[in-house]
Amino acid sequence: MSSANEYRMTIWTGVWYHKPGQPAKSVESNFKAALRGDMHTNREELRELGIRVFQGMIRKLYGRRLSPEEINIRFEREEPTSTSSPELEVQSREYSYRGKQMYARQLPTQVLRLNGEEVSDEEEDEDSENDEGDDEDDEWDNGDAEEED
Amino acid sequence: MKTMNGTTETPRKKTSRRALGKVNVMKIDKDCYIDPDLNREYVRSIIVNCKKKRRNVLWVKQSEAPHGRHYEVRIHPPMEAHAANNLQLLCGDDAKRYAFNRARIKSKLVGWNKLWWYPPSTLRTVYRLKRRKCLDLR
Repeated sequence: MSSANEYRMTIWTGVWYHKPGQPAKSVESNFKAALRGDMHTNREELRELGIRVFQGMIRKLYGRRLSPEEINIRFEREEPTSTSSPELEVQSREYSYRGKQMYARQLPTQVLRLNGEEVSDEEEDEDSENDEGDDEDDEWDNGDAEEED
Repeated sequence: MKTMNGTTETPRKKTSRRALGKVNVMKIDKDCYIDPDLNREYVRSIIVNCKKKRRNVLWVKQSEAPHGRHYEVRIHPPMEAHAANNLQLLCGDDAKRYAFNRARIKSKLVGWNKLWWYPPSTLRTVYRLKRRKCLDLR
């Protein structure tokens, strides 16, 4: 049996204005899957699945229909892994642009089967909810990080 | 927690980065073509920059990318994610990539250090610390 590889695929949209007066946005989803088999075939399958899942998520969250041409996809280097898994994890971020600065907000993490069915909808972790606080502005983790080595 | 004016305040958790862990491989995206001589000098400057942050470079690998070159730098000891991202910028990483990584780190994305790979490009070692020195670090 061929060895398994961990595939890390990132899909993102171009920048757009969701509502007037709000900062420009873009959304990025990071897919992680451990699969056996030919790299090119796996990449193609992940690409097709990724586009479908990403389009669905953007439609659900923002009511926007994206054509495949508006979607960017890139892969990182595959890493060998000991086991393959029939599930893939999708972590998404919404980027908000204020001038040259950008801020990321975590969107709910999804775990999917390879056919695109959702296994579960994980809530954001407790820590990040506490960090964000109640204030709407606090949703954005925009504090400058202190230098630390 | 009691404040100075006597009101009670729920202690807010400080933004933590503990979930991200430390980084021992830096990834640098250089969107230009570099002559071999200049490349050697560039790798040397990476080592000097890491030294300034009290990090030893164990190896430097490079691969070809559509717009230039990608570098992977193994450092010891490992460092915090945001410090590694800062050091990547000091080592000549793409500015936009730095900004995205910074936002990803703040939102605690574990795989924040993204570098796209375009097959069939392969990683080639261009610098390796002598084995004796590596053993001294352990």
